[in-house]
Amino acid sequence: MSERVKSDSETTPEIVEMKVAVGEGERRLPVYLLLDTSGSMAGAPIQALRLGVEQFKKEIESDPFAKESVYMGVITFGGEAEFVTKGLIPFDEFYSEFRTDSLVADGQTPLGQSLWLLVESLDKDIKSSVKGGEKGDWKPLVFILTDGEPTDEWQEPQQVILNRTSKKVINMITVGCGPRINEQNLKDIAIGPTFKMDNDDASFKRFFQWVSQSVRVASKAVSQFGGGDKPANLPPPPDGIQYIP
Amino acid sequence: MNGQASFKIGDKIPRALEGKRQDNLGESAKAAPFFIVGASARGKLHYHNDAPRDDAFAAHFNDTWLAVAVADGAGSKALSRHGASFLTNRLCSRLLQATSFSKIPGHHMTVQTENQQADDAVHLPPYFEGKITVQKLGELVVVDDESGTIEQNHLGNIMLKAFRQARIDLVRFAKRKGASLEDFHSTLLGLILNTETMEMSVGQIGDGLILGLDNEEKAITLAEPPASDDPAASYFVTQEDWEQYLYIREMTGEEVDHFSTFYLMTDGVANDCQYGPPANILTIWAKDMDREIRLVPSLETTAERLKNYLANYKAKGSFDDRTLMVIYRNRGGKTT
Repeated sequence: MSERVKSDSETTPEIVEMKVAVGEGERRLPVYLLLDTSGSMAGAPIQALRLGVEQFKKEIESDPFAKESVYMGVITFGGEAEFVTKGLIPFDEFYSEFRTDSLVADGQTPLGQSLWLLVESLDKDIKSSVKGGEKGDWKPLVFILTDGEPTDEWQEPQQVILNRTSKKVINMITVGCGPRINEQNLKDIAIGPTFKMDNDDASFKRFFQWVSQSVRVASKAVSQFGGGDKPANLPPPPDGIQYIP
Repeated sequence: MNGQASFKIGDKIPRALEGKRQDNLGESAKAAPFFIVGASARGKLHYHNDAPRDDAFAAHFNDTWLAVAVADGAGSKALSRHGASFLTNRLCSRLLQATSFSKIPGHHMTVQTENQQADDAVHLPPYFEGKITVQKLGELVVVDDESGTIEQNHLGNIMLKAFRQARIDLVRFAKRKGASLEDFHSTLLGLILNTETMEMSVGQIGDGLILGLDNEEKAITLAEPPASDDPAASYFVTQEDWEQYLYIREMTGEEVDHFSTFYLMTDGVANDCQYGPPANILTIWAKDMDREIRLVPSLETTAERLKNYLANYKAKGSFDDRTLMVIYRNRGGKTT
């Protein structure tokens, strides 16, 4: 016996709402900012960097999808590398508690140290999906901003990140600012595209607008074909941020 | 049995690639002893991106066999919603067509499987949980590797053939429309059930979930296809090497008798019921849904409730389209 019954598409007032439990876990989008705070960033560049991070905070805060899923990790490399956020923190905590005046320019450029801190965080903080357990994270986005060349050994941690077989990183974007950058060096460090820009206020502003736009696009990413080894489709950078081929 | 459907519910097979798509849809039907309720709702992210609903569902019935399918079109592909609608309907049609040919009594051959020639063997989808399949005279058949008996119309084989034929149908459709197959990228989950003998088979490629709630109210995942380690990526029936990622499982009538309810869902729902906390959320969800689906006697009202639920329930980070089909019967598996 068969019978077909079609429902009307309008809601009728007497329909009782369904009450069904759902999982409380969330799928996070980890975003790491590795920021050069070496001595050469002193003065206008570090001030522009602080303003840029403030702007980034405001733009993500205004996006209801992004702010729900983004978790932030900020690592500085100037003197000694420091994991300023002490791991990944929810965006609303980053928004309310991260102080941009903690970004102070001093010392050399230990990018290698900062990459090792990143490796530790990828191992410790990034979650993989476990059926019956937690939801895994989206693949992290990593942005590295520097005005010069690293002063420590960075090749080994970069290879460790590149060769990961679990909790992979496929988006580690490098951006060089100012006249002292080494373009080949930036390309060697990156997993994905490399860009350059000036080190004035307007350039930093444009950079962080682009970073926030990239994060917002990634937080709304719809399903792609394949096993997930494709880099994120980033929006094109604005004028003033130039792709290095 | 003549292979003709007694009902068809769900999204319709697309005829044109233009026109507005319904944001939310809820439909239901009865295929004694089972009731079928299905709904699909456009996700918040799709509203935000001004993109239509990309999920689809369909169920066809021909007085004995029930075929059910859900699909999730890839958001990155402009025509994927049409792929999802086409594939769900075509899979159901092909399943019913295939089951209209009954086993021919006495039509068995004995094969010495140990000595089977290599070129006689077909390359199987690696996740085919059934019996060995070999190719004979251009037709796929199934060999019981213990007795060596060939059964031409084994349900797992029927499911595999239906997936293959639905894909071929889509290739032709894409060609007629001047589009590439990739434009229609979609996952596909299907179920075929004999409502008299209770034999069943399920098939899945891509994310989503096929679940059963047994008579002891335990939630059992019925399909375990290979999954990407990136939650943003999936496998699609439209990709070149799709059979590597296809999973098929057969269940006997005796096994099916242990279940009162089956669920087929896209990842928009699956992601909210598989992952905790709490750790046992899948069983809690399945029991809650089973209770709610039986609460109101009217199937039409139940479909409306399910549609509203999918459109409105809140879960952290849950912004995708949501599609769920529920197939259930009275407790104990008996018709009252």
